[in-house]
Amino acid sequence: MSELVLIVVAIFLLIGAITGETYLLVLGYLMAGAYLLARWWPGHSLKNLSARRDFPDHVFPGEIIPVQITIKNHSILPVVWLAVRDLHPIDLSDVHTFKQVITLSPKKSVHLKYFLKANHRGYFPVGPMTLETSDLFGWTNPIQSGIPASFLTVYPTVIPLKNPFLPSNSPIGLLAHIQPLYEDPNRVVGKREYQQGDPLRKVDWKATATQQKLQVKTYEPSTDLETVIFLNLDTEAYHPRSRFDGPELAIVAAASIAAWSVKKRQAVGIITNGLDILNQTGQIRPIAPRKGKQHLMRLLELLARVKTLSSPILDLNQMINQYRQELGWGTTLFVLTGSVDETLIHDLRVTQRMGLKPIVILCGWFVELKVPIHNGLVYEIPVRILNTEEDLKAW
Amino acid sequence: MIGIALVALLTHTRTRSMDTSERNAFRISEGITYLVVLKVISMIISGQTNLVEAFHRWQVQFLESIFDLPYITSLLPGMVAWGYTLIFADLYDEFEDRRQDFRWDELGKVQNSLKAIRSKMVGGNVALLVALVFLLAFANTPIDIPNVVSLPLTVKSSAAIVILFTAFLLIQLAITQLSLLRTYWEHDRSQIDVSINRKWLMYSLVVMGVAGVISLFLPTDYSRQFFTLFLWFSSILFSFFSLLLYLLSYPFLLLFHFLFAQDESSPSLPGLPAIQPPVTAAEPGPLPLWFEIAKTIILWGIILGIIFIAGKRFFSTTSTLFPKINRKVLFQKMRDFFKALFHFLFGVKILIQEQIAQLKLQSKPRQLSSKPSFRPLRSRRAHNAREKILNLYCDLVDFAGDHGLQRLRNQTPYQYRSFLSSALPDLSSEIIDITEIFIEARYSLHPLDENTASRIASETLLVKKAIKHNAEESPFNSIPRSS
Repeated sequence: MSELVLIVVAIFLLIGAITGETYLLVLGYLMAGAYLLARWWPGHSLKNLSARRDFPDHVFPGEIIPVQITIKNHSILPVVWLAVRDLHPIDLSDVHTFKQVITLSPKKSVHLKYFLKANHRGYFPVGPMTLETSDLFGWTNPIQSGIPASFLTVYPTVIPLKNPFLPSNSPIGLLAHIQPLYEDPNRVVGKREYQQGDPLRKVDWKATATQQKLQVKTYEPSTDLETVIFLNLDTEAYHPRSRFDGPELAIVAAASIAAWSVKKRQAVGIITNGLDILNQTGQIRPIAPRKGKQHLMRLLELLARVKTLSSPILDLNQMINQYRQELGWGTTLFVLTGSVDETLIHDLRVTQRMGLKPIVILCGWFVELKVPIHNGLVYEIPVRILNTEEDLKAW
Repeated sequence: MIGIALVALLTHTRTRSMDTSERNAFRISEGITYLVVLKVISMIISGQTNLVEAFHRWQVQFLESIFDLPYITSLLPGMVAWGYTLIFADLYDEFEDRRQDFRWDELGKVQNSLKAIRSKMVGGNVALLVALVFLLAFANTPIDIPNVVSLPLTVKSSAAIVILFTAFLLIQLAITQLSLLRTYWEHDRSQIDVSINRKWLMYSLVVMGVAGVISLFLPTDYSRQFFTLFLWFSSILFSFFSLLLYLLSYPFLLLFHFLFAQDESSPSLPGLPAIQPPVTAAEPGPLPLWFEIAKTIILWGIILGIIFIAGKRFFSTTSTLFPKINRKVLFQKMRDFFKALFHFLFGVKILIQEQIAQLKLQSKPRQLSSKPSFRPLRSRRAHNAREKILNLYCDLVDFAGDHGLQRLRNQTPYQYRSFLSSALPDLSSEIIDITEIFIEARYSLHPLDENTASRIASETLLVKKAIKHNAEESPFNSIPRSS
């Protein structure tokens, strides 16, 4: 098409030159001017556009995410048409791309809005966004520019645990305990008369002066539940029919346990053999047990991003053997996996002898028990089976 | 010319539903009618009001008398306008017709065929523009050969004609480009800004206006001087080469001079026969009176007969059309021609959408798909039974889509028929009939009558009612079928 324009321009100029008709020269210039303008305009328009995408980048499943695209034309020339295409994963919406064609007046900005839905956990790219335009007459091919993708983190579902039985060997902490062995001197629950054998440091001297009898303080027993979650994301460890729902349920369970622990002001950490989308080269570095909501957010972000692997660098047993040395005495180990076998029971038994408290949680609709479940109980290793999220809610 | 173009547009719309032979017959009758009307107009303009004298002259020298200079000068532009309008209207119809196929056909195919039609339109217009420029430019050059011919011809307002035609060409380019892009966007299911048509036209005019203003301020006089200088240099170069050629050929010329020097006394060139004076035929004797009378009757009988038959056919065919030629109809027919242009000006799409929205508001409120529905720009006016059937079918598809029976992008009408029949098993015969007639209307040239269109309308109504009933009954009426 552009060649045709140039031919017409050449004919106008030639005939104008031969016949001396001024209007033909003017027409030739007009066509040439229109042609040059049409070629220059789209590039100029794109250079003078700025685009921004705004959305809440951390959400929980089920939330609706409003995405606002702001496009501003800084030029004094209008943008005749602008096709805006913003890609996003199909997991977040019914359609794969937000597509809209707009025009932009000079020095104006436009706000486009669409909505995504966080259907499930993950780390999703929103974008890249392309802006495409061309000229009015079809003399140039469409040209594109755009902005790169932003990322949306959808946390895993956190199910509030009602009253989980989480045993701990670590005395004196923030959690109340039934064993008098773990009395916490910071938790005074009352006073009683002195009995023979009571240590003198338990005597409440003010109360003794008031009562004129020796009074001793009674303490509430407590434990410190430092927790480490071993999350096994090796797909081979799950039943073939639960290779999708099993790991997902394990992640939900890990997030729920972590949230419960942080709520109870306990330290919690995670060790997993899955794949972090942001660090696809090697193994995920363990997150040491810490307290606080900020730490919980860090854990949840990791759980949002993590993916399963078919043959990870470390399997569950290697992971336990490698990291148990670094854990403090009395730490509770949650081992989230899809199957339990002799080797795992053996390794956990060793862990138990080291003063740690392991709990096995088997996740998935189908779980594999390669040893009788009472084997674990024999060694006082609790084994719990979670088939669905409902089981977790009832925990 | 404008009048002929307008009538050609009107008759073009009318003849779309005709079959080929009927259309050809109509075209012949139309052409003869134009010939007669233009002759009458040229006679009135040139002051030949004495019909008796004119008839006598036509009888003696038929072709020379009828096809005189004023008649030919009015006939040629008229024929060009007529032919151009018909060809352009055909191409535009084809363009719009093919554009609708993006719903059924592959986008690439549709785009390629649209581009091919666009190239034809633009290429034809460019060729015409170049021809017009040539014609006007050289018509404005006075021809004055002493003692032979002197034609101080000047075509008034030639600049305006060329500029207008160029502007028209640019507008056509802009319109067809928008149509191409819209096809892509609609196929891509992009949301399209409602003001894009208006702004497209506005920006096109602004571009042309700015370019025009800039061009006016350009030093065209200098350009002329530059081109004059260029031509002068060219002529020097040409003279130099002529001289070189002459010098090279001089020995041969000299040789020829020596060889043919003896025949200088001969008045003619050697080898050519002498020109003989023409032999005049003997004057024919006077014909008998009865022969002259018979000749006159037969000649005028044939001529008047042809004119009568052609005129009758033309006016009978357009009898229902001409009474409607008032400002409103003319405006509507002009909109056919400049359809896309009026998309800019009046935002037909907005009106259609508003009407659809009003219809939806009037009907029982229902929860439709959350996805925005973008209808292609499609003329809902039907000029004949074929267009009515096409519109009815498209309406049905849209309606079904709004009620959860959405046609998939890659579904053919037959596949969609099966899908629709499975959803409405009681009305499968109606659905089959609607689809068959649609296929016939869309992809064949079979004549379709109003009865068929009425039948399809009633069947469509039944199917729509059933779809609506099903949608209201179904708890999933708000969930469209995923594509």
